[in-house]
Amino acid sequence: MPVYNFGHYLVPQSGSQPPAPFPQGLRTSGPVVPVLIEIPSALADRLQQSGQTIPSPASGLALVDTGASVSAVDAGCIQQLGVQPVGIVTVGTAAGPQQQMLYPGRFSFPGTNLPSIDFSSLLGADLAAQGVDGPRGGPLVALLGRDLLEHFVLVYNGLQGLFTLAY
Amino acid sequence: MLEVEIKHFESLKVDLLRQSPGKYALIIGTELLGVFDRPEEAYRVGIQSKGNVPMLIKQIVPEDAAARLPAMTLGLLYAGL
Repeated sequence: MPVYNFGHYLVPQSGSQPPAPFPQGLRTSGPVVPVLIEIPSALADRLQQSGQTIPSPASGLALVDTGASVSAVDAGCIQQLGVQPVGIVTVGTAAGPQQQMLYPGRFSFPGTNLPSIDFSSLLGADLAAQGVDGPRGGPLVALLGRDLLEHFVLVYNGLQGLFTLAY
Repeated sequence: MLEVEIKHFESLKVDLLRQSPGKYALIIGTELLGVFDRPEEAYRVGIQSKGNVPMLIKQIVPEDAAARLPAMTLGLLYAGL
């Protein structure tokens, strides 16, 4: 079972002491993993068969969001890859129900041993404006919702400032 | 986008619910290309037969479930106190 552990630590100035857990880091950044947004495998196969170039993936951070019933991708990223929509879904918002596009896509997680995952549908959302704060900051390009988490074990250790994802 | 496909799905919905409940319909324009067990199969068939175009892949269920992403929709993903 591939297991990904990530902890926030403070590294002391002198090398004689071990790094100390830094719970504030996890609280600020949240459980984020590096992610590459790629075109779905079926589209990549089709482009390859027809001799077309496969677009380079978009990179950023994915936030584990246990409150999200579905996973989401930054709409700008997936549109830039040339991926066309496969549906529309109603999303409950504070201003009432709104309709948003669904896109297929593929997530891979560089620097981890987590497997790449093809999604038949991802909610296209404007995530670009919501960058990740804190020591592990960067552009937010995806939310990992409960449709993905139903295949994972997630352990959130707030006291130690670390979390674990196991597939 | 996808208005034509959604309208076509709605026109077929009663029959599809009777014949293939729970499966996934693939519609491009006003053409129903098939009904599939998994959405991935539907997408692959759509891509292979029509190319990289907008398509509707919709589960055949009486009522669609709404997606809920409260932190995102309320703008609270990285809200500060």
